[in-house]
Amino acid sequence: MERFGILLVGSVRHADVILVSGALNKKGAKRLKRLYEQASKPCLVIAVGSCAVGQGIFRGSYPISERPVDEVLPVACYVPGCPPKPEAIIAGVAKLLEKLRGER
Amino acid sequence: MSEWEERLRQGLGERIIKLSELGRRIYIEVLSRDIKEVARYIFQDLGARFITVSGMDKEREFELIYHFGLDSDGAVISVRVKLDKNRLEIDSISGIIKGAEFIEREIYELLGVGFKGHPNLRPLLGAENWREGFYPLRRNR
Amino acid sequence: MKSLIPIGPFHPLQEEPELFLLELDGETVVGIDIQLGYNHRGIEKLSEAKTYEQITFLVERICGICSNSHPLAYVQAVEEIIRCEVPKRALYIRAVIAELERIHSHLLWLGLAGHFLGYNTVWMWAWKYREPVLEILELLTGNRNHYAMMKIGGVRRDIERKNIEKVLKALKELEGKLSELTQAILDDPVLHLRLKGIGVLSREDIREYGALGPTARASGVEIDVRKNHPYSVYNEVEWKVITQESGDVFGKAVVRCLECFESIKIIQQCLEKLPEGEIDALVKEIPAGEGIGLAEAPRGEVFHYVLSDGSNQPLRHKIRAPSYMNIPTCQVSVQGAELSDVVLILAGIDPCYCCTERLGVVDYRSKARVMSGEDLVRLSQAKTARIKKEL
Repeated sequence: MERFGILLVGSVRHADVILVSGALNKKGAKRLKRLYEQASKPCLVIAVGSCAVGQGIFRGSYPISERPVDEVLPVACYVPGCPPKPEAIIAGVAKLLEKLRGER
Repeated sequence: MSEWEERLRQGLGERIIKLSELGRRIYIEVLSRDIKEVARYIFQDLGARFITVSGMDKEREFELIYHFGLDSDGAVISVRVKLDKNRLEIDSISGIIKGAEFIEREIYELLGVGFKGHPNLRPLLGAENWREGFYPLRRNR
Repeated sequence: MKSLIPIGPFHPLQEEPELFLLELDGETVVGIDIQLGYNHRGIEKLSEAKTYEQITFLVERICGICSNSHPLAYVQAVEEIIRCEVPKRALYIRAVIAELERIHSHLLWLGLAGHFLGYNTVWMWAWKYREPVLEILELLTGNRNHYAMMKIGGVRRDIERKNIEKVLKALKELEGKLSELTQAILDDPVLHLRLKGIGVLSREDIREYGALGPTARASGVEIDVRKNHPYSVYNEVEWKVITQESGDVFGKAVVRCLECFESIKIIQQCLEKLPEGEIDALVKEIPAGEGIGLAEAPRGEVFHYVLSDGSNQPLRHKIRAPSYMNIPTCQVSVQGAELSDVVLILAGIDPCYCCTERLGVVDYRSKARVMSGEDLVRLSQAKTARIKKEL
């Protein structure tokens, strides 16, 4: 991923993008919101995987949050798949970056 | 009578209410008050390996099944106990088998069964986020 | 340069670690509190609302690296209820997929151990050699994980003859590379110093906790579902159960390395002996009854219990993954350990790797949280660097 100019950082304060993967459980939803609020804006959210895109196969399960990720955070890009292939994730990020460059 | 049936009857005698054997699967039923002695016998005397406990709300009653592996023979012994739905408690076997600690906590959390003598009976999976009195594996009446 | 921070089941967004909370006295660990549930998804309950076929896909997703073992144990439990005979060809294919998974899981672990040790070369090589295995899986099943191969009564996809040559060739190459990697690891004096004597579990510990898989086998306990409760075709091919006597993290690493070679052997024999025939018993109905299915996942025994009332959804589905039994052994293995060794001791039992991210250190006296998981990884890497200098 570093080849594309993407670097993993250890703190949300240094992040420009947040990648959310997996089904959100009730515990997670609150924390995710808090984390996003701590990130310096602009900060884009990418939902990776069918569970982040829309709860996927765990929909309706009791510990899973009733609100999918995009009702907790503003999602800029959806990468479906269970699991999404590595190429799909990179394609999603690349598309998002392209879109941003286009808009500037 | 197979060798395992013989050894079970020898060690547990009257405690066995029912016994059925099919291939490598042996199911026995015992009274909940006998669980410590039964678990001890199977784990210590028979040298079986503790696999896990499965719990279930069967509406008229609750049922716990304690599963043990007889690895030398490729068999599994499953011990069934029935619990009165108005008195959901049973002795903990964690004093005999340390590996039972977590699963008893999980059953406590998901089914609301109390394990007497458990050293650390508190939720395992994060129940503090769920509603009071919510036991996910119970059937809603 | 844009930056990314991953958050999700593998890096749960927690300020407070929730999985392992260590209590320290000075630099020594005196206690550990283990809490699970960060990724509780209610799968057993969800199962009751799904059909038997749907459940195969559900249980695949319990874990991304034991993705095949859960469906395998599950379909075996249901097949026990039906008492159906699974065609031989399907049984062979099951073993091929299961062993491929074992190899890629062990290599994943090796890479992580390398990372925790601060041995980035090991990390890179292990993950590099993992790629061909994932490619084989993609060739045979269409996916790098979540293969959707298991089916009640058989397997969902056949292995085409034209692919067998490719796979055998790739495995031969892999064997050579793995030999080199294994030798390099096992001969390394720094690794001996870092991994020997830490995280020791005795045979008694293994028995009391019901520990499984390489964790148990590294302590000399010869339990392996493939040998003890044979399923698929493990009793028709030649292979051996790998054990070590030391019970320490080094022993656990050796077991995992050597198991890869046994897995390669098993796959080769299965592909060479693959009989013609059906891959599916075409099951129509599930009668009432109960069934138990066991399978040896890379981490140890997976246990599924299914209760059927004759309808198309189970009445109860109990799932027990191996890490559930292995994780509590940490209470023993970290006692008295040096803080810089903790990460390796925990990694030694190979929990879902995300678990080791969820570490925290609490000072015994002040009860204040003083360190995070990342800090502990850095401590471990620093220790390795120190030892290297001294040699």
